[in-house]
Amino acid sequence: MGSVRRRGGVVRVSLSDPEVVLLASLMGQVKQLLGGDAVAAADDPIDALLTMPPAEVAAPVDPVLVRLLPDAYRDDDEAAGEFRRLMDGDLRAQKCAGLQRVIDDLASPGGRKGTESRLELDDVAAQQWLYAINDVRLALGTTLDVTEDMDGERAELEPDSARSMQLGVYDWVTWLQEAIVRAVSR
Amino acid sequence: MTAPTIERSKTPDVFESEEPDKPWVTIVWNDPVNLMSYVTWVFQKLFGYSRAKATALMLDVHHKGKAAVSNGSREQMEHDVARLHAAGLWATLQQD
Repeated sequence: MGSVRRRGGVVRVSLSDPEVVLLASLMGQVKQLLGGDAVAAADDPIDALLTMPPAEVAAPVDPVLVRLLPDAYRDDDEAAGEFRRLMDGDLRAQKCAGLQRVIDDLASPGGRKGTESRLELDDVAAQQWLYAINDVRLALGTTLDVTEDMDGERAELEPDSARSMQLGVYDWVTWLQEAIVRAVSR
Repeated sequence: MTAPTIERSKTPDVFESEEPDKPWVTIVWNDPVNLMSYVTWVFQKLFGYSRAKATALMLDVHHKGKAAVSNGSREQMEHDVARLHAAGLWATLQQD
């Protein structure tokens, strides 16, 4: 079972090997959904200067993408479309870069103890981790149709059911995010 | 619970084509996924708000369904919305 502690100005995260595999897999899936390496490559500053905004960017249809890339205007389709045209590429690239950062950190942890990876996150890394973990939770929460009060449903779930296991994954990512927020909020 | 104090812009921007006495606001909407602790941290991090002010805004989002978290020119609010989207919060802008 993983642990999160703040020590000497950094957040220390210890994760078991299965947790590392799970987290990296979730990050990779969300990154893929957002466009993956194709949009991450546009993060290059020279490319960004040479690339004109597209003439139009269609609003997403996939519910997860709708949540990850929301409209900036609620009652003004034209303004929402223009905002999306200018900002969609940046937002996708930013999210993909953050997700990839966590994947890279997980692939080369600062240390190992037994079957655990130990990672040290400074303030910048902790912010990127929190953003990326939040994107994973938004994706999972949207897919699983999570609501604010699920106690009733949880109480009646069969422990071996697919949904029970999926919610278990969601709960674990929630725990990780909460632990890191607490560590950086102290 | 305390309602957020929205300070109105005192100097209307004459170059804005919108009605100058109506500032733009950034609204954050409630959703069932984002953690209360995380939302509070994001408000502190992005806007430099105190823990108390950030917590009050977060509670407004949670209990009232939305809260105005910043106000200013349309450009500034578009910037704030972009930063909130990067953090995964459900944010929109509108004229007050």
